[in-house]
Amino acid sequence: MEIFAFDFLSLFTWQNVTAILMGVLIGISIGMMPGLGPTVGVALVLPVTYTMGTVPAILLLVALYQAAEYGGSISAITLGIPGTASAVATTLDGNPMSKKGYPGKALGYSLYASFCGGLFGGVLLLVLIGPLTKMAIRFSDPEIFLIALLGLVSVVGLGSKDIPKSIISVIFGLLLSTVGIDVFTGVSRFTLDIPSLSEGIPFVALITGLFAVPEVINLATGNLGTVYVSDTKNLRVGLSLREFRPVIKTILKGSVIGSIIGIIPGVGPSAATWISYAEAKRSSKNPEEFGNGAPEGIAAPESANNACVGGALLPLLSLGIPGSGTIAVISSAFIIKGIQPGPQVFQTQPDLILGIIWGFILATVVVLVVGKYATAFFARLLTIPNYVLLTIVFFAAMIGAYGTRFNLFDVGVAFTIGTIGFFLSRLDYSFPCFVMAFILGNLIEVSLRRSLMLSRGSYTIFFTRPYSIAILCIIAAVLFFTICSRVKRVRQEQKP
Amino acid sequence: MKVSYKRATVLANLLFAAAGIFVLRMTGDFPETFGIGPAYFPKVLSMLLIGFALYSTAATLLGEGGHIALPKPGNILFVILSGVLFIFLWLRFQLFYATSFCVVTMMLFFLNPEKNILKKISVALAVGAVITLLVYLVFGRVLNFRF
Repeated sequence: MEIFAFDFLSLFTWQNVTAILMGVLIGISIGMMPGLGPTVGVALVLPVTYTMGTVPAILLLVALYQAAEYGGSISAITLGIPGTASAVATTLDGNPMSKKGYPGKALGYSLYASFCGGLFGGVLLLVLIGPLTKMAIRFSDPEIFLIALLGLVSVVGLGSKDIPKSIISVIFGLLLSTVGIDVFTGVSRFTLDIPSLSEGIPFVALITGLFAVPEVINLATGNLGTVYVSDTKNLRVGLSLREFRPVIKTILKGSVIGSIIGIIPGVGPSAATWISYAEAKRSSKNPEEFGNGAPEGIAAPESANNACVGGALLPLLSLGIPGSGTIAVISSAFIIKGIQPGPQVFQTQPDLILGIIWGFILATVVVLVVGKYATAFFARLLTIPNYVLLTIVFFAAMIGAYGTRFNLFDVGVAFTIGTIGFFLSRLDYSFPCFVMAFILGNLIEVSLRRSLMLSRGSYTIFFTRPYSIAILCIIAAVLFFTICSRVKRVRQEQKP
Repeated sequence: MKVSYKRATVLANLLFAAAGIFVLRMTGDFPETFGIGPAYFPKVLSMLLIGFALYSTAATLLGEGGHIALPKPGNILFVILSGVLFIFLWLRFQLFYATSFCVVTMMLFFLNPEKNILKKISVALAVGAVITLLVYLVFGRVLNFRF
């Protein structure tokens, strides 16, 4: 078993352990702040990783992502305000249980479900990374192009409200990824004679601006003096084995659902939590208790959103394809360190990838320990007023955008894209679609052009190779599923 | 403030279509190469962008309307202007910490809903100083950022 052929002592260095601990502390803090999510958190912390080694840098970010998914449930349970989008389903039963006088128990269900889900996702990642990488290494340009296309089709088909606008978001993202010097010919494209654009639109600035600036403006449109106050007396997280046993099956189902959805690019943890919640309610002996503080109603979404994190790391580490905005920011940390994520990395530097995966599992354990003993302390952080929070986020976003290249132009890019993004998001244009397209744009163009050069311009190269045909079948299945679900929704809307 | 969803969408789609036309025109200036050149991918994308922008415009015009809410437009404008001011002052004077302190303090002062002016000023100055100091210590000293 090559996954155990790893020097575990190298994981327990003070740099790695400190990075994980910091990631967990920051992740829980950011996750529970209503309005901020793991993507904003990872983007804001990214500049801190520039001076760190590769493994601690990535561990800091994945630990933050994992912890933020649990952190979202703290405000969802204690205040009824979800800290992250993927904690909305947790609010339905977490807050009623808290109101009944059991916030500690509700947090206990959330914490243990998050731990089990995270662990399941981590183990799945560990088990599948080897076989998937071995398969991916046989892929050539046509297959890489089709896999990237599958990512875009998934994100448009499975995660959008308005399909034409999502397609526009995808095309615009792809178009922006072409800015800069063409890798084949050296021709400068759409740089408008600005030297800072010769390497393309700065990715970190784009991500930071797109996710942080609209949040800042959103916070400014809300109640600026809001100070979230919760009763911190009964927040001691605790659960007996007798109370935990009935939800084990729900947690297992949620973990499986979360992991699978995490692997599919573009769908994300929010969808996983709702599917897991619906499945828990459907299979429950007491579905009428859902919405009134049912333990399964907390365990199902929380196990799913944490399992999603491990699942989402799989396409990045095995194929080099980031499955979500948060994972895309994490992938940029690899690129900053001079590593292009993909199957080659596991072949040439297995210790790096295994270190990240085992570190991710360790981070899940740290979330459990920190969550158990420090949740009450974190709940006190919710007393930061919104006007202070938005100023801090605004400032951190500007520094984050500047930090990659120490270029003020990047700050301007982040701010401009973020401001435009705020208005476009109000009109249902899709951020996830745009970001996925921007990230995959270079990969898509390079693999498409290389494939067409190999086939001397013939598109049959995408239909005549066994792996290509298999990927095309998956794309067709996703399209079929999308069309079917749209038709079903239209029919439901037309019913009187 | 409420904005017509249809009007805003049509405007956005027309801007996307204009961007597509701009890109299409620019690709004409790229050097011709044998086979698949630098213009190939952007040209395909720009044509698709124009097509879908027009389709979305038509679908929006034929669909139901409604409004999108933009509450507190003054605050939105203030945050945007603060960002512009921050970048302009930093670019003009190259004094990052002084600019940061001024803009952060200004934001904290104007966005604080507190009625007591004296309290507002003291909170803004104190929090602004703490934030700037933390940035100096973490980014300037520990991480060696060159602002």
